[in-house]
Amino acid sequence: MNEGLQVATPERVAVDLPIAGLGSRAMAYVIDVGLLGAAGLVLYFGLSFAVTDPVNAALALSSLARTLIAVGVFVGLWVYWTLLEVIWNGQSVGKRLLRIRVVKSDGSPVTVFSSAVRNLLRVVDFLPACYPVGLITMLVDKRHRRLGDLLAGTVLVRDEQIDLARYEQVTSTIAVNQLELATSYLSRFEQFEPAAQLRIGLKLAAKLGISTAPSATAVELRDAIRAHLQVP
Amino acid sequence: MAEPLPAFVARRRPDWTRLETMLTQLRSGKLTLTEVSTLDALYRQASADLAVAQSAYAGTDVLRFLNQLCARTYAAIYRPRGDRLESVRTFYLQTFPRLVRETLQMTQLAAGLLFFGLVVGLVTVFLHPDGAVVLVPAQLRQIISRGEVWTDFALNNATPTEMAVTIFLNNVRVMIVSFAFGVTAGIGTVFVLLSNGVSIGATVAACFQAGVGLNILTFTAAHGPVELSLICIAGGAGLHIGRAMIDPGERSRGTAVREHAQVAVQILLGCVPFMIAIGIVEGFVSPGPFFPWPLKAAAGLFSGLALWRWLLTSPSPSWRGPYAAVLPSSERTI
Repeated sequence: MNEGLQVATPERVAVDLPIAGLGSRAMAYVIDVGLLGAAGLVLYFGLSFAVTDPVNAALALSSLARTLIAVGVFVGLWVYWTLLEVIWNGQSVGKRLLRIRVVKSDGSPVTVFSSAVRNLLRVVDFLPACYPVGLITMLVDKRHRRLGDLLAGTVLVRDEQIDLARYEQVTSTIAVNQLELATSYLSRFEQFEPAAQLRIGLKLAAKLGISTAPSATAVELRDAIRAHLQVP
Repeated sequence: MAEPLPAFVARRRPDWTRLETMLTQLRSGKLTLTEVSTLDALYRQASADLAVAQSAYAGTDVLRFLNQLCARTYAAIYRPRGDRLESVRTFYLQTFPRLVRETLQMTQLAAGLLFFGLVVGLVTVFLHPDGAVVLVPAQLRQIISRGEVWTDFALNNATPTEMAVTIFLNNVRVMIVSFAFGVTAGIGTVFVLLSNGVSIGATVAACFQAGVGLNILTFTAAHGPVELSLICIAGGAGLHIGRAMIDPGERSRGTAVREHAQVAVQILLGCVPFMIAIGIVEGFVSPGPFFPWPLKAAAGLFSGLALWRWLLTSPSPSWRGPYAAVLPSSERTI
């Protein structure tokens, strides 16, 4: 596990939150931008029912109207992120799909103020085009924070979905690390490639001290490991 | 020896599931008082489980699960007081003036730089009228040479509203740039303040030489004091960030910059409503002869004095803190 965000609670236990990496953050951003782009397209075609050729119509408007539209778009983008992060407890649509969440650097929920700051500075992070400032800051920073996060005092953490059911059938008393490895293999068995099912299964069986036939198939290995865990 | 992991999970999992359900209910505000105290007890037990997991079950999903559960509950229980309208009021009655006072030195330095630039610009153009070619923006130079002040010109060709938006965006740009350049250890801010001072000074001098000097003075009379104050405050906030990079004091440089940046951002955001207000004044009141100049001068003087009186004295000693109304008098804080 990477070095996470350590939060000291008054209960004298340090809570350790996993930091979201650059990949999932970028992916969440792409989803949000795609969504906003789609909304823009809908707006464009919606407008084209009323006005023919909205782009030229907009260019023909007075400079005041154009300035107001530009300001409106900027504020709209800002409000989109800030509003969602505040009402969904640190998540926008993309962040929700990628299961990441904005929290303050002490682990508490993001506030209106800090969300407003980090989303206002999105513009600076985006400079000059396609996010280079933000990406470099995220690469350099140990907790993958961009400039906006640094100024707002926020961090993105992963919101993992963990199912504890896989521990419940186990009745054997093997060492914790072996148990973790074996149950994790069993619960993810279906997701592996057939070759990986066999390769990892063989290694795991050897580690657990299960004697297997050299010609054993992946499913036989899985059943053997499952049986091993359920030995009282 | 700790109990086996499966037994631990089987024994404690019902409580964890209950805590998770309660958290969801808490977010939708459906918990009764007794349930809240149950939540508290469950959270403490989960914390204890987390401590056990940290020592006995390191590297397992159970530990990850408990980490997440405790973090969520911790965030829900130890939540700061609601930050809605009340905090806006507190911010302007208390926090913002205090922060401005704390960074007053830097604001004064910014004002000094702006003033120095202004004097340099004035003197240069008065001594060498050719200097205006370099120091005054080209489109203004043309207008001044025709014997108009650009504000009269702009008013003839565009609506005052348009002026307000243009000038407002220009203010915002100067303030944001001088603020953001604080991260260059203040060097960029110093440059922006100086160069803005020089171009203001040069423009005023060029107007006087073209015989429209009084027009520029009456144009700036109404909004000038507050606008220049805001630019100095924003520039001061930028210098405050730069100061942390040069002289972090007893903290590490990173910590100092972060702390100063948070103060500076609050100052900048606090200035926003005043920027909007002054943009409106600049667009509607300042241009043209609609308002007589003594009125403009009085408004400028009054608004400038009122701004600084508030910044330097608020909160008044009679104000008893944000929660005075709900706390017994013995617990009130100032």
